[in-house]
Parts: sequence; structure tokens; C-alpha cells
Amino acid sequence: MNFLVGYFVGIWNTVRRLRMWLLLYFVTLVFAVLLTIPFFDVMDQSIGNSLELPKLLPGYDHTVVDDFLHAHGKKMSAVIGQFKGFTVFFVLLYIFLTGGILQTYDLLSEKFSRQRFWSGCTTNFWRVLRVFLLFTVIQVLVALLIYYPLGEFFGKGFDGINDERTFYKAGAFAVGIHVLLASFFGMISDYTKVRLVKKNQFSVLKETWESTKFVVRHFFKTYPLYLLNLLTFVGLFALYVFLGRQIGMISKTTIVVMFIIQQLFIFLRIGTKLMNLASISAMYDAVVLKSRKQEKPLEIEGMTPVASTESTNTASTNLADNNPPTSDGPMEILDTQSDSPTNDEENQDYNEREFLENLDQFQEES
Amino acid sequence: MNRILFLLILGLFVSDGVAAQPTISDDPLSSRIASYDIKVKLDTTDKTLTGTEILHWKNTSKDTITELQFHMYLNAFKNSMSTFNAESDRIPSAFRSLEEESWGWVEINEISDEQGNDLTASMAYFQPDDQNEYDQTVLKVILTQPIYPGETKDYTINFTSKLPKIVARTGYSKNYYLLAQWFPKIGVYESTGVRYAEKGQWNCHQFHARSEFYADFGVYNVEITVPKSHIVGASGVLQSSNLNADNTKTYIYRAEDVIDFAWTASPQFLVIKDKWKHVDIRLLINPEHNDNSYRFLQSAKESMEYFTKNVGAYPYTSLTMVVPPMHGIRSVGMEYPTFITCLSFAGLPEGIRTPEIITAHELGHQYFMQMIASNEFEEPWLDEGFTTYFENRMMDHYYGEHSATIDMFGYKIGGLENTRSTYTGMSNPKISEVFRPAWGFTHGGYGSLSYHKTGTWLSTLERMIGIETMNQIIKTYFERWKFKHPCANDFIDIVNEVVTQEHGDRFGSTMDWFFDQVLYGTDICDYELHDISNELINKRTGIFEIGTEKEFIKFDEKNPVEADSIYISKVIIHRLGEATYPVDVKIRFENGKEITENWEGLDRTYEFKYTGKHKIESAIIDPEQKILMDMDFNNNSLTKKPEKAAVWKYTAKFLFFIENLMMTISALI
Ligand SMILES: [Zn+2]
Repeated sequence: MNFLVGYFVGIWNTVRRLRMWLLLYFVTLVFAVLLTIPFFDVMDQSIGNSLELPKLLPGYDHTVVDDFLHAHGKKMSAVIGQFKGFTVFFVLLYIFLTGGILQTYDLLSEKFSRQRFWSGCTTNFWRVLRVFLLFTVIQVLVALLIYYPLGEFFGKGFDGINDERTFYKAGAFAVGIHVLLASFFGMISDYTKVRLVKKNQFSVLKETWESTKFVVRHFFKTYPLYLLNLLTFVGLFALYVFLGRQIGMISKTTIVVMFIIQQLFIFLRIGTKLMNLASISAMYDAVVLKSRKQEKPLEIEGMTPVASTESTNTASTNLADNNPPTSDGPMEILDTQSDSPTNDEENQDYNEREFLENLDQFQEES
Repeated sequence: MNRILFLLILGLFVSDGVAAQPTISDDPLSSRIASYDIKVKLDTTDKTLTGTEILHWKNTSKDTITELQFHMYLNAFKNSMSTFNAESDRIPSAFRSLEEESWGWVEINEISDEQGNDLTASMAYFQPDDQNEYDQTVLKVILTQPIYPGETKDYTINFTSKLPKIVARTGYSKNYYLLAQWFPKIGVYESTGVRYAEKGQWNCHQFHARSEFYADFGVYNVEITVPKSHIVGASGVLQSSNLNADNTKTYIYRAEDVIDFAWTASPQFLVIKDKWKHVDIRLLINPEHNDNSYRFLQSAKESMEYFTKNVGAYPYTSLTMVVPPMHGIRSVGMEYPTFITCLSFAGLPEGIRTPEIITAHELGHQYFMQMIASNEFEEPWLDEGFTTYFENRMMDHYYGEHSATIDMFGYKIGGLENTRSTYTGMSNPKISEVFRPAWGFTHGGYGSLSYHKTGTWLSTLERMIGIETMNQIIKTYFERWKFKHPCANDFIDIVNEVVTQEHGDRFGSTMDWFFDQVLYGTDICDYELHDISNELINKRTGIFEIGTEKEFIKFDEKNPVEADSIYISKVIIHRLGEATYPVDVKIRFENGKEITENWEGLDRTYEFKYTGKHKIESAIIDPEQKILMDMDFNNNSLTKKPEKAAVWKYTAKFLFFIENLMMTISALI
């Protein structure tokens, strides 16, 4: 599977689990609304009956906003402060939900099961939490590694340089490197989570190491795929900014229109998160299968009945059903589509795990 | 040295094809009390200036002068114990780690009078403001021959200036030089009646962290020698330049009727020339900032146009603008006669108007500082406040009252808007009165009060009395006080005179009540439209005899009988601040009728009461927002029919913001 196929597999697997997508959106919406109500109250009660208020409709009005913040800034700080208080809760909430997403994508061929989702949330919670903690440390170290020297360079002032363009270039270079490195480690973090769930493992360090090896070995599949997913978000954001500038919130109608666009953006942003995990899951499955087959064709063949069942559970089925064949896609499709998936969920899950475990065991032995 | 002889010698140097420029005016514009002929050489290796200065000083007082007082400003950068550094919040720590080459100083090697008397031994540093014995920024010289009233005496001074690394406006940064306060400069002798002087006295303050300058007018003939690779810009008009045998080049400048002389040198400058009417504009800018050159030139021309129209003529024939390189950023945004420093960053977008604002501001100082030469030490508001006021007027006029400061991504701020919100946004707007010497703002407030509160109350005054009256005041102030030294009372006298002349006693017999609050007081202003009430009266209920019949009428508040619909309507106002201003109050009724009431604004609470068939729909205090000193305009009005779309707009934005924050958190997992 090349990265483009993986990308479309990710999209397809996100779209066909609309219920999970909607669930995540509504969870986000509900908590956001709860935190927004105090904002509405403060604004409505403080300047809701002022004749100055309509000046905010056509655009930003510095005097109205500034007077509002001077007079009611403490109340607004309290509203913002509420979010700060909720930060840890949101971290834990999304760790919890990510467990469900991973469990759902463990078996890509299946339809969304609520029960399976919630059980994934609980069973994978500690796994995801530990991955989060580990990679938070790694990301902080990466950021320090980049920005500390940059800070030192900036801190020396202009003594070592002729003009500020050197700073701009250094800053842009650092940010560029940071984006690449942070996304690289973010990608390893995602592959680690996928592996932990797929293999039902608990050793975060071991799987991180394995994921790193995996990602590096298949760098030209995994990294472009990850960046493409990231670019999808950037593209969405650019589209939102464009629409926001074209439409503006300058009348009752445009407020409603922009509200819908904003919520659509949030919905799609959640979609990009799902796409990313789905595509990673699919890529992982595809690469593992292919590598097994290419490395040890005879042994794999010996396990064909199980392997076929497994492979139809992964992205290949979806590919065959919904995506045009691409460079290395057809091979997999041809390899795997001949067998039909079983309808027995439990059995299928069991078979998949068994298959993967067998493969790993086989690899270690060989 | 004889002045004519000096000029003849200058003439000998005219050798490399630069035609002699006309002097600025045949008739002196000012009293020319302190004039200088200076020859100075810049040593770029040792970062020093060595020079000879001939001071021609005229005693215009009725007193006999027995001592001279000089500003020796570069000594502010001599050590960490100077008053300038001791008063600075951050500079001392910046200085502590500096090498010897970074410090600056100035010393007089020799001073003699025109009879040849050596006065060097009589020199002594002293500290008129704070008795800080480490401060050497003021020097007095006891004269052997007194200067009698009406006499002009010449003094020859040999001096050496070690330039500091630029910390505050003056010095060097790499191969860029900004030379300000670089020579021994005489103070101002205020004779009886000048400003607050009850008797003749020297006004010669130390260099303080937050203070600027004060000097007499004169003519400067300055001969500057620099390495030939350096491009020079200076106050005044370039008369000639010539190459010397030792790889140096000498530039000869003349500036007439100015209070100071500053110059710059750098081998990196691009020179861009332009012209506005009679003024040759010269922009010295580093290549990385060249993209924004047009903005400085445009703003300079707009400013001169605006100031000429609204204040008075710009009488000089030159304007030199310097955009320092970023490593010399501590020299940006400063005003010297016909010479200003601006600011730009490479790639600065047009929506951030810093280049235009600083150009407008520093050009404003050509009027309020240079021509109207107030004492910047003692009354900083007279130059900074007036300049801020005009900077806002000019910027808002050309760039929009809601977009003159910033106009990017829908985020817009106007000039006056920014100034007002800087004042109203102070953590403690009562921290000090505006009327205070620059060094007196020991716990903050110098910038916010001298610049922004003054800018705000001048705009308030303008809106109260009308732009025509304000322009008349400003023009009268300029005409009466140009090339002189006015103080607060001189401006207030003109306000009282013109306002009374134009408006009679509409604002009282004088405007002193206004200045007592905004200039000498610290009180803040905040009016609040507290409540609107509409009470239905004539509530007929019970049994009424109509003809021979008894009729029971039950009052129904929701559907009152038309004939019974009489309301007592009230608008209740609170005065939350201590300051008082007369304000208009506009009341709107449901039928669209509007009434505008005038209120003195004195009572703590006040109500307007109406009886009629229509309810009050809304009311607003100061509907035209004349009183910009009001700390909160949002509480100036109430409406019974609010238009809340904007609340929903910002609620939707806030929701979107929170959702995105949540999604950002989720992206970390
Ligand atoms: Zn200024």
C-alpha cells in the first residue's frame, strides 16, 4: 500500500464510522457549550443592553472591546480560567476516547460497534495514557532542543548579525525543523498506540522502539501519509479562514452561516484525527502483511487460511471495494481479496490477533 | 574665533562639487541666544569624537551673568551610578556586564573666553536636581569676565566625547553612529518672567532616565569629518563637502534657528531623496528596510502638509530621516531639529503602521519641542502630549479613525482609539497628575500620562469646543510661542482667551475647571446610564359610574385601555467617577421621538423624568462621545430593545475557540 492509498483508506474508514465521528463531535460540543454559557452570560449582562453593542456587528471595534475588557476583564478571566481548570480533564477525556477509536480501528472491516468502542475506551486507557506521557516528555525535549539554542541566539541580540532577516530565517528554520520533528515523533506515538492495541501489548517502551523501527523502515510510506493527513488539516484551516474572510459575521444571517461553517470545521477537524488513526492502522496492517508474504512466502502460504481472513479484515477489503488500484495496491488486493470475511465478529477478532501474534512469533523465531 | 573668519574658512572647503545651499532665512526667526561653530572628527576605531566648539552666547536678560552652565549628557553613560542609570529600571543591569568600550563620556579639555582667559580650572560638575555626586551631566564654569545684558560672548571649548554603545538614542552600534547630545551644550538662562522664573536663573537639569531636553535657539555651523566610506546625515542644510588626504571626508552643515544639532553616519545607508514644496527630504535607510522607504516619505509629506495647514508653516528647507538598522534599535523614534529617527522592520506589513506613526510623531515634534521649545524636563506633556494629539489627528485623517494604528486580519485600531485606551487601560490612571517633571514619575505613568492622557484630554477639549475653536487655539499658540519657551500657563491663557471669545461663558468664565481636572488633577471620569423605567399610571380599576350605570373596570397591564396609557418614564444617571464634565443626554421614545438634554454632570445621581403616552426606548449619555476621558463608554447607554446579534456573534466565536482548544488538546494525544 502506498501512502496515497493509505490516505484514502483513512478517509473511507472515517466516513463509514459516522456514528463514532458524530459521537466525538457531540462530546466536544457539549463540553464546549458548557464552558461557553458563562461567556454568554458575562457579555449579555455587562453590555447586552448597551447601545454600543451593535458596533461590534460589522467588525472589531477597539473602543467597545477595550472598554468591555477594562470593566469586565476579571469576569472574562474567570471564564477563561474555567477552561484552564478543565484542561487536565480534557486530556483524560481524549485519552479515554482515543482508546475507543483505536479499538474500533483495530478491525477496519467491521462496522462501528458502540459496545466495542466503550470497552476500548476503558481497556486502552492506561496504554494511551502512558504513550501520551512518554511522548509529551519527548516532544518537550524536542522543543527544548530546538528552541533553547534559538533563544540563546536571539538572546545575544544583534551583536552577531547584521540585520533582523537573519533572525527571521533562523526562526523560520527552527519552526520548520520543529514541525518535521514533532510530526515525526507524533507519528511514532500514533503507530505505538495502534501496535499496542493491535497486539494487545502493555510495554510502551518496547512498542515505541518497535514502532520507531517500523516507521523508519517504511519511512516513505508512513511519513508522507502522516504529513498528508497533517496537510489535510492545514488545508481545512485555510479554507475556513478563506470562507471566514469572504462571509464575515456581520449580520444575523452571516452569523448563522458562519456558525454552521465553524461547527462543520470542528466536525471535519475531528475527522482528520480519525483519518490519521484509521490510515495508520490500515498502513500498519498492509505493511505487516506484505512484508510477511514477501519475506517468507512459503511459510505465509502455509498459514493462508488464517492470513486471508485477517487480511480481509484490514484495509484491503475497503480498497477493493472503494478505491481505484494504485501502484502497490493491486498486489495486495489480488493477494487478499479472494477470501470472504467471516461474519462472526468474535471469531474474526480472535483470528486477527492470532494471526498477528503468530506472525510476530514467526518473525522472532526466524 | 571670529564668525566671519570662520565662514570664510568654511568656504575654502567647498571643493567637491556640492553647490552651496541657500541659508534658510535672511531674517532670524529666533533670538539666536546660543549659536555654535563646531569642528568635529569621528574616530571609528576608538569610537570617539574630538572637537572644537565656539559658543556664541547672547545675554538677553537684564542680569549680569557670572557663570555658564553646560549639559554634559554623554556622562549619563559613564557609569552605573549616573542619575540616568540609577533612575532606569533596566539599564543598570544591561550596563553592568558591558566592556569598557561600551561606556560613554564627554569631557572639556579646555575652555577659554574671547579674551583668551583659560576658564578650565573653574569648571565643576554639580547636581541641581538630586545631589547625586556620581552624576556628571551638568557642569558650571565660573567666568573671569561677566556677560552684561545685551552682550554676546564667544567661548572656545576643546572637547572629547567617547561614544557609548547605543543604549538610549546616542552612540554607536557596529558601524552605525547616531550622534545626539554629543557636545558640551549650554543650558537656558531664564530671565525673570520666562516660564515660572521669579528671578533670572539657569535652567540646566541633569540627564534623567525619562527626561528629554531644553535649549535656546541659535545657528549651528558644524564641520563633520568622518571616514570617507561613511554616509552622513544631519540637522540643517549641507553646505559643502570635501575629500581629505587621509581617506576622510568633511561635511559642512548649517542649521539656523534650531535648539539642537544631531547627526548620523554609516557606510550602509542608502540615500533616498524626495521633495515637498520647499523642503528637501533625505531618507537614510539600511537596504533591508528599503521596501518600506515609500511609507516614510509619504508619511513625512502628509505630516508636513497636515501640520502646515493646522498648526503653522514649516520654515526649514530640509528634513533628514534616519531609519536605524535593527542593531541600533535603541536610537529609533527620536526627534531633533530637522532630523528624526524612525523605525522599520524588514518585511513589516502595511497594516502595521509603525513607520507612518513614528514619522508623524517625530515630525510633530518639529513644532512641539523644536519650534515651540517648551521645557521637556519639567513639562513633558507640552511636547509629548501635543505631539501625540496631532499624531492621532494626522494619522486618523489619512489612514482612518479605526485603522490608523493597525489594520490587519480584520483587527483594526485607530490612532485616537489607541491613545484613549492606553490611558483608560492604565492599571492605575490616578498614579500621578500629568503636570509633573519627567523625572518625577518615579512609580510609573510617564508615558501613559504625558503622551496618552494628554492626547486624550486635548481631543476631549477639541470635541467640547469644536475643531474650529481648537485649531484657532493651536494656531494662536504656535504664532505666539514659536521660537520661544512657553509653559502650561501660556497655553491655558490662550485656551481661556479663545474659548471665551468663541463661546462666551458657555463653558464658564474660564476653562480652568477643565485643566484643574485633566492637567493638575488625577480624578477619573465615568458616567453610567443606570436605569430606564416606564411606569404606567392612571391605572383605572374598580367600579365607575358611567352615566347611570355602574361599570366594573379591571386593569389589565398587558392590554391597557388606550386612553389610560400614560407613562411616567425616567432615565437615571450615576456619576461613578470624581471628575465632572458637562454632557448631553439623548433620550429616545418608542415612537421615534428624540430629546437631547444638557446636564452639568455634577450630581452623583440625576434623573430625567417624562410623562407621556410613549415609553422611553433608549437613552445615552454623551452620544457623540465628546468626553473621551470617560473610562467606559459601554455603560453610557441602555436600551429596552437591545440588538443582541453581536453577543451571539462573539458567543459563537468563543464556542469555536473552546472547541479548537479542545481539539488541540486531543491532537497532543
Ligand atoms: Zn515624542
